[in-house]
Amino acid sequence: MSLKPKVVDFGQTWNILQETVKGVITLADVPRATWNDRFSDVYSLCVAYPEPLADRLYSETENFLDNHVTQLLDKVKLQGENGLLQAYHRAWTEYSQGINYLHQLYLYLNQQHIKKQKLTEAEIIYGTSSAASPEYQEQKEIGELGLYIWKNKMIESLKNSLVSLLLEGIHADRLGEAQRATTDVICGVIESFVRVEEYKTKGQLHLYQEIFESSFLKQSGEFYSREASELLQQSDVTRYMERVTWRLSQEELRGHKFLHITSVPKVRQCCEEKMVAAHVAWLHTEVDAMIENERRKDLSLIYPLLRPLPSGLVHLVQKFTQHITNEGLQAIGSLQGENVHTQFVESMLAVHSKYSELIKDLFKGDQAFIGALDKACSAVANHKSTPRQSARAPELLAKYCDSLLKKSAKLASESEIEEKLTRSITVFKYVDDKDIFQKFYARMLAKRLIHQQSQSMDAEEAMIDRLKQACGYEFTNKLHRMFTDMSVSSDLNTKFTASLREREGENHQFGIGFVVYVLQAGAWPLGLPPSPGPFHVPQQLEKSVQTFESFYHAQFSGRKLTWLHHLCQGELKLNYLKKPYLVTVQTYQMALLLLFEHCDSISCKEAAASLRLSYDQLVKHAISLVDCKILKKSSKGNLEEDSILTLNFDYYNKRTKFRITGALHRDAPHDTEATHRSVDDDRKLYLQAAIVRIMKSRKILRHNQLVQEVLGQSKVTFAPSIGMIKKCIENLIDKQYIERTSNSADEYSYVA
Amino acid sequence: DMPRHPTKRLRHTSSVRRHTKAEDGANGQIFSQKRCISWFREYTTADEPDMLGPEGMEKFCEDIGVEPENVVMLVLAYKMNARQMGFFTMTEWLKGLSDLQCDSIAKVQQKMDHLRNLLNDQHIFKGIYRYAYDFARQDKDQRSMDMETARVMLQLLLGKHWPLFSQFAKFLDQSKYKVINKDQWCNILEFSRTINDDLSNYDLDGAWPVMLDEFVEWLKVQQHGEGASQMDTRIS
Repeated sequence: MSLKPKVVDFGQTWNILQETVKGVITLADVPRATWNDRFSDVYSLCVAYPEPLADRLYSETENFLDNHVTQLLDKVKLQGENGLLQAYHRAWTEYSQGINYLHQLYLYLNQQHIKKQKLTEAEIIYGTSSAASPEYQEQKEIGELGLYIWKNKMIESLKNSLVSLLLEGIHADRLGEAQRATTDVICGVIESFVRVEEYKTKGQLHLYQEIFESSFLKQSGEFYSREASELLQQSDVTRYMERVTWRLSQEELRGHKFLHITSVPKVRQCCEEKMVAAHVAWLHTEVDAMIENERRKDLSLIYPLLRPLPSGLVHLVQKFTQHITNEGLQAIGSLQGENVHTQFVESMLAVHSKYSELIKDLFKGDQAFIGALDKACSAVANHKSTPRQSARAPELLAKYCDSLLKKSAKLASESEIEEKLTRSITVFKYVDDKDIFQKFYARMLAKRLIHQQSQSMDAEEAMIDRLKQACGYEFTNKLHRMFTDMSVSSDLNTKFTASLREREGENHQFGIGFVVYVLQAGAWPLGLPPSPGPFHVPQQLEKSVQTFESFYHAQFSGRKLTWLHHLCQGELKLNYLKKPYLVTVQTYQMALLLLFEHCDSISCKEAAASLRLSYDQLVKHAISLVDCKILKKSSKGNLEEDSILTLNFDYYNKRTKFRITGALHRDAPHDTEATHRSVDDDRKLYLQAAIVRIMKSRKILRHNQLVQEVLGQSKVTFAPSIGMIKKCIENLIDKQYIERTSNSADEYSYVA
Repeated sequence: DMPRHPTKRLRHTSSVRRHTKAEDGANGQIFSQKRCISWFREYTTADEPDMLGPEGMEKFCEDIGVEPENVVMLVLAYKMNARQMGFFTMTEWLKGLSDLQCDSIAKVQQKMDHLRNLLNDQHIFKGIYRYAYDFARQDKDQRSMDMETARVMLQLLLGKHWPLFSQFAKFLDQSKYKVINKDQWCNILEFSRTINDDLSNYDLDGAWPVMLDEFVEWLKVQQHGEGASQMDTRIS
């Protein structure tokens, strides 16, 4: 066969071609050879000489298809209402396949003739001169042409009947009355609405949406509304939510079965709107009781129902926050007894973990609920029983850590303690007044370190690291320095002993052991010794104190050493009793006992004078020694100035090594108060510094902005009251760091 | 410095300078610095000729017929820019009285209405009010003013025009404040000018000094308390 253009008789060729076209479109048997010949005929017509006959071929084919579809339409119509869907479906199945084949038969026409004259996308967008005239009818590829004709002839005239039959069919499916055969037909028919426009570059789903989807959604919506109101009359909220959940999943399955994929979310939304959103007010009233009684099943049902609604969870989250807050406050409200701190932290953790679990189980770990939990926990942790008081959490939490880190008789495994400390960070993060916590923690750490009461230095360090992670280097700076001081001091003591040995040989001994901690005043929260000083150091200690001072000053000139005797302790060996005892006592107690080296009794007044202690202090320490029966007192009642203290030669104790608890170890209530006061002072300094920093960089700032910025900067360690910030601002105005601007009353400017 | 509604008599005196010497008559002559200074010396002692002290002040007030605690004396001091209450230095005297063109008792007396009228000008009043803080402070080394002085000065300046003044004074009496700083002082005037008597436009989150926040809180409790007690009496 030659590909050369030649003269072709159109009528003759078309007549032959038309026969085959009819065969192809009706899926009749077309032999391979015939197919090939007709394929060539299409080619010949398109390249015919002298004039290509492509346009004529196109219009004849169009006429043919037109007639064919008209005939099919008549046939389908003949089937009447009952068989309409099936007949249409049958015709469509045949036609859609046939047109596909025909498209291939006309391959040359499609490829060479039609595609070339098709407008490019750019031309569609920007317009061309040819497209400008409205009468311009673009030629379509044969496959498209076939579908186009089907749409205009077949669907246009049958659409109303078809759609109402489809809706009936789907409704029957909902009621469980559909048959398998109809299901396929329904799917096929709906699919045809999509398929006939698939070739389009845009608005592919237009027909489907217009003639079918909108009616379907309307009908479905009515169904859902009806079902919802029936359910409301018959069932309680649990049953209702179960049914709605079931309905949603059913409709989703049904959507996937029958509809175009894009309709599935629309159906879901429609169903949610009619069955959930329409009754959301009622659901909200039910939510209160569900949360109140923690009805887990109901909550797990209602969460997925409310979540898709715009701000649907707000009410639930709010109630949930309130509920946790109430539960939390109740848990920590009635704490009493010695170990309030343990009860407090553990109750908070119990509440926290209970609701974390619940959120994970019922609300899929939804962030909104985690936020609610955080909000509630922080409200509980920072709860103040009266607005004047500060929250108890910082102190209790520090005490809790102290109780874990301190040596104690209770045998808890190291890993258990580690775990508890790790968990305590959860509570720590909720505490607003982290600076107060830090103050308490530092005090307790100081006590542990100085009195060697730490369970393990590793545990101490690990805890400081945890705090650093949660709050930053700045926060734990002082704690770290305290820690370092301890190890530096131990080196220093080694050096000191070595220097003594060097200078005085082996018999350098003062007759006593002697260990000194040198602690930086800035890092340690230690009070100065009670006045009036200076306390008269017992003669036995004098030499060691002096030697150490000169050793230290030789090492670091310019540093000032202050002896904090009230924090020191010593070990005394009592040799005057039936058996020797080794007693650990506080330095003042030791000094008092050492007075008895040369006498067996002494009056309080004398003792106070020779130790240079105030009378009150002497009494405090003497009482502790009287209480433990090492000393006896002459008078029955309180110790008076002229009361005589006598050494008890009948002293007996089962243990030969023990410690006498001094007044020091009991936490005086004014300690707590002093801590709060010093925190307050620190805060004022911090806030003033922050205000000056901000104003220095901003020069002019409105009141509210300034307050916001200050709040932002301070929130890492504490939450200052607005009043406190205002007072600091006024203070700075008074000190002329900033001033009110003349143009506005609530604007400040920096005074350089 | 023209008063807004000068009386005929005032208009007459204020245009004194345009009159010829002959026309001046008994009413006075053109302002003379020399006469002004010698008048000043009538109130000072030989020990301190350039400082008019409390005794001289008393006599001066008597001469011009004004009580020392009259607000117009504050305006006069403001005109002189006197540094310390109860005292005029010669420089201050000369500056203030030259501005007013006064060198005799009669001339000062004629200026009295003018001086009083200055208080009605919002802007000048603010100047006088702020001046009063530094003027009345006993100890110039301290930045704040003791509460007793503050009470007296506020009474003098705001007592008549600020309906909430008596409440504010009560508030100060029961408060822990011992002194008032300049910022608080200035803001009390702003408060009296801008805040409604029912406090409806007061913003607790605003930039007002804490003292005024506390006053508002206190006043609300007072008013609420009064309401409650009225309720009680009605029930009983």
